[in-house]
Amino acid sequence: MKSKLGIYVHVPFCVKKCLYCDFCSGTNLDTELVANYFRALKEEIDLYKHLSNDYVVDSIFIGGGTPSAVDPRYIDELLNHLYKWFEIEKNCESTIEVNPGTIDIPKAKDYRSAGLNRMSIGVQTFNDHLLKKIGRIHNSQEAEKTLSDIHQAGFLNVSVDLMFNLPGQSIDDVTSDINKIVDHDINHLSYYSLKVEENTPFHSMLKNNQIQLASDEQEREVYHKIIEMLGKKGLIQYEISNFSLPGYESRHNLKYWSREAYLGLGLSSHSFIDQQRYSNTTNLDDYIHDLLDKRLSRSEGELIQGKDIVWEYLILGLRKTKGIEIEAFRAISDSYYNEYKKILDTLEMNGLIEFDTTHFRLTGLGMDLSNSVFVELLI
Amino acid sequence: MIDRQKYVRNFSIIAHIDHGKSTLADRLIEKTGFLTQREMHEQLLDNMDLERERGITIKLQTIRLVYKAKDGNEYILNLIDTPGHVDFHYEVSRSLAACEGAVLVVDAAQGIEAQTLANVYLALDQDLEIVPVINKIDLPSARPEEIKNEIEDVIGLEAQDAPMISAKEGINIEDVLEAIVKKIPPPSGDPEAPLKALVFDSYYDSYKGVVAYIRVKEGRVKKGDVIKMMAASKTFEVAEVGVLGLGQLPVEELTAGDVGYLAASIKDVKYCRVGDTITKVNNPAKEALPGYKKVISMVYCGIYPADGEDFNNIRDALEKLQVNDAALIFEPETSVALGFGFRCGFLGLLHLEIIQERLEREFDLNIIATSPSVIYNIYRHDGTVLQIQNPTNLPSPTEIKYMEEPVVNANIMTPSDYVGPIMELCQNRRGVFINMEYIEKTRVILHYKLPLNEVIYDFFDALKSKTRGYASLDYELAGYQESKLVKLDILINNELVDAFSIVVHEDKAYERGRNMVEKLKDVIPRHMFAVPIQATIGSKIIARETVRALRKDVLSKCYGGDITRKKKLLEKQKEGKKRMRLVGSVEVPQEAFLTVLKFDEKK
Repeated sequence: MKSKLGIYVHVPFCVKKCLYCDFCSGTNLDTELVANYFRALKEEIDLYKHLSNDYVVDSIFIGGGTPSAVDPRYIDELLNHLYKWFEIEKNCESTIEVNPGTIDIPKAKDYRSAGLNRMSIGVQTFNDHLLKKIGRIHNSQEAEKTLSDIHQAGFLNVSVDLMFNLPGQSIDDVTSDINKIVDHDINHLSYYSLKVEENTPFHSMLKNNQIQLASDEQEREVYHKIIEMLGKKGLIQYEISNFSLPGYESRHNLKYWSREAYLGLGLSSHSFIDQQRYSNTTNLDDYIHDLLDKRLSRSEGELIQGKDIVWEYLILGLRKTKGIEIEAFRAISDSYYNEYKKILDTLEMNGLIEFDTTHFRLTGLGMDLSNSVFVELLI
Repeated sequence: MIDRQKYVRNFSIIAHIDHGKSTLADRLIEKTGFLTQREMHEQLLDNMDLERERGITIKLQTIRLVYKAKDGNEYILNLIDTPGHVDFHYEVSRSLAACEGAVLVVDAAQGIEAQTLANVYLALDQDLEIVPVINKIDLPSARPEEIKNEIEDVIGLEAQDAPMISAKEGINIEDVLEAIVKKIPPPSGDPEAPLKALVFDSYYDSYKGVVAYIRVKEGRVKKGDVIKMMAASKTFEVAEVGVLGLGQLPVEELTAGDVGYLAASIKDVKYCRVGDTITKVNNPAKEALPGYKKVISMVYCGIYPADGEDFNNIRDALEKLQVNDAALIFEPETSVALGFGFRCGFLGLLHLEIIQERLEREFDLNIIATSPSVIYNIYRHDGTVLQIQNPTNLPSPTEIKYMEEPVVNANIMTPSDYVGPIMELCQNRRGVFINMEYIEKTRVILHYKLPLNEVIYDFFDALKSKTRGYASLDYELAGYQESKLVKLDILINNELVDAFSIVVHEDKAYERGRNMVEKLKDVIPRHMFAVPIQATIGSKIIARETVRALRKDVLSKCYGGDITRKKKLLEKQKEGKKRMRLVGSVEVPQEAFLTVLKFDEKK
């Protein structure tokens, strides 16, 4: 039987770069560049078509950047190309990321007819003042409109991205965002805490005191409040930053956390195939140049083996609220089991993880200190 | 006088730090035609990286120059380099004892400084002929005529015809060479008398064993002679003697008046201490040359491996350093907080810093050093007296009748503008004012009696920052005085960290304790629990801070399946943790052990 494969396609184009963004994306929407990029993507798909011998695709995720910033015909052609070379399951979860201000009903309908069945919308917040502050191009009215537009266009499987810990964002702002979002018909929510990354405008603004962030204590208080509030509305936390109605967990995201195979296409994307990890170049010109020459533009594969498998299994699995099944972990960790068990016991003693009869998982404190937990597990 | 002695001159260059000693040495070497300009490294004599960076000379280097003087004769000039810092008094004095004269370099802009005087006094003690030289005349701020008068007034040396040079620009270097030949007397000493040779430096060579740099005062020495180190009471057979050109040039023999090296398969530097006298087993000298003393360490600290596995590597490194640095002493000790390490003794704080840096740079070791300490005399009620240099070993306060601490006579030379701030600093450091002398209208020497444990505690840095670098310091040990001293301990998460314990004057304890806990609070990372940091005297808590519990440690969003990058970040974090010391369940970064040593005197 063939194994399942997830496919991620990166579209590194945006109308405008947000002030906190350190993703690989640019704002050059020059038609020839975009056309070349999608030509390169198709070449890349060709170079991977042999995978269809062993894999059947059950999730596609077109992310960015802002995939909705480019002409929808590119998305259509891209999906057609995938359908041409890969075996795509009938109920494949096919998601596209869109941002308010770059999408309307016709475009959404185009996506529907191209075969997409799920949409992830970068709302971030409904507070106009905050949207402006973080450099988004849309306002709350446009966000609301996008939510109703896509519904009208037939997208029933909808995820929204929200952010907290934004500079100057109060707990009331967060509560108001949550109340607004549950009014719309969504079944999935990614709620990320703003982290100021180096080489972003926010980083220098923070250093120059132009923006201020909440203390760690305040930030965590908000985080736990969010989990509580969303839970009451039926959006259950299933991963550190992800919430959904039961049964609507993102198949694509779960692949990352369950160490299942995924193929990354496009600039700066990552792949995990046959226990090997690859990463594509982050240089747009190199990417296009290499692929148009019918060459992959990726790193040497890094084979994950031995202890590293166990560690990955742990740090990815622990992100999920369900946690890790004890028996499955025993099988995976094999000869390393005792070594890891000792650390897990210490972590349990410190209140960072908890065991029940079948699983172990991060506690609330463990989620706040997940990094420390993962570091402890590095042996 | 014997003919060959007539054309020999043995001399040192003495100067305050940064007055241009090494640059002048380079120029002399260049002018004597030893080397082409291209071959010259900048600062040829200072061959350790560290020295170059700090612009000071730590280890002596000696070189023989051949100079054809204006009188038509060829002279052998043995330039014996001296360390330029207050910590190395004894080494300087032994180098000077190997000479008949000294070139005194004075900066034409700065004039006489504290170490200028200290070095002059040492040279005068050895009855050396002093040849003043005014350097840096190319500087816009140079005031050579005033400086000449200053030399005459303050030191009492004839200076009107002193060479006025710029070592940096190579101006009038010839004048210095001529002055050396004309003013410094040739060596004397009977080559037929029993051998008396002064060891003024030594280093370890893996092929030859300990190589001694010597000045033959009387008699002669050659390969095959059986010699005796008079202080060490050890005998050896001479394997090689030679002179010090660029590198070592073996010669038949060295005779009275000569400066050179001697190798005798000596395996341990402790048998070849600086200041010892070499004589022959047959026909030995009746008495040794004067002035030998065993070097006394004034400052101590514990040196521990940051990584416990490095213990043996540190011992090897210390042994190697000791081979060239007899003033460094060490013995194994154990700390509750830091595990196995070494208690090390140094001449002074600079010496300590140099050794620490050499361990890290030359031997690539990661070390943790504890707070420096001095030797205290502890008088107990039962009448016994203890000498303690490790605060951990102090007996309980109830056993102690009283304690004494070492004090120094400190001479601080400064532009008079800074007298106020310096007096304030000295007062803060429990100094007792002795007097103040004016050298000239705008410059003074302040004489203070200061407890050594205050001097070793960041005093140089404080002095420098208070005087924008203008003040200079020289000090000498001046015995012990009774003092109200207490042991200050630091508790982290209620566990005593012995490596932080210090002995401090009662009146200063609160301030020091507060300062230490505040610093530690900043450098100890947040843990999953709150970490109290306390400063205590006995059972009394005098200062307290808390490192709040870590509330958040999360990586950014799941980065598009990029697990590799995440792993790298976490591995880096793990590396950082490995470099920490576990005190109970608290991870203390190495930095903590360094920062508590700095006081940050309030401006």
